[in-house]
Amino acid sequence: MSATIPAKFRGRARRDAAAFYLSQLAKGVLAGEVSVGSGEQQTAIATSEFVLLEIEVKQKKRATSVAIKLRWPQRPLIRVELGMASGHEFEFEGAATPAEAADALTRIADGIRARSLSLSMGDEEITVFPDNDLSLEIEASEKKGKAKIEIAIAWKHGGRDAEDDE
Amino acid sequence: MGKDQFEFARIASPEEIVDYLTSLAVGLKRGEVTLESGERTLHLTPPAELKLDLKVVQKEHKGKLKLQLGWKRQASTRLAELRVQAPPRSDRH
Repeated sequence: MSATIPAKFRGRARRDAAAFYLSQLAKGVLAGEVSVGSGEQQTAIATSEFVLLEIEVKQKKRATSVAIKLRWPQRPLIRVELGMASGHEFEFEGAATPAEAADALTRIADGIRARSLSLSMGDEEITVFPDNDLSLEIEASEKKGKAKIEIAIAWKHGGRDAEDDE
Repeated sequence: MGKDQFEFARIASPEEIVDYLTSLAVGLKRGEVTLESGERTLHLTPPAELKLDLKVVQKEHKGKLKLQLGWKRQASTRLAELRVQAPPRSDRH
């Protein structure tokens, strides 16, 4: 479904095949999610709003080379999924632009609407199914030039025997 | 609780939460977030770089998602807002 590129590739290819990988990469970068394949395994990587881009073209006597390098900080990948896989805990801490944070909020909102939310980063993954009555807490403060917004959403499954700690 | 603090808690349907999150996302994109509850209003202007903390916990019968955005306030006035004007040159005698 998503654009996939090989995790590592070196070999001769027809130029249309080369163009295909480049366009897959471009599609993934644009969509915010690049899928990287290595053998049977596929890993989805979230891209960020700003990436460091290096393009280097070298012309030598025998050959021309074009090197393209993209670099960006790690991001969590937030997706709405229908899978039943379930982890326990997931945490991401990092920098984000307001647009990236807005994108994360929108994807979380989509997941809540679909009653299924999947988050992953590297091989860490969690899928949760928020449903029924949810509790929402929003806290925000601005003090001495430091500001924060905290959003907490909690839910219970099954209703009656859902009493546990906390 | 001072003027610069905002707290809000309620039980909501998934659709209501979607609304809250979406309007917050719109505010972030616009660079202005206004939180209102009762008589309390907090107006925030997030800068270009935020710290984002996202935590999701799933236990047997319950789950929780916590998202925290934080930043240090930067000089809130931009140079573009500064107006430098010289008086129009009038004909002098």
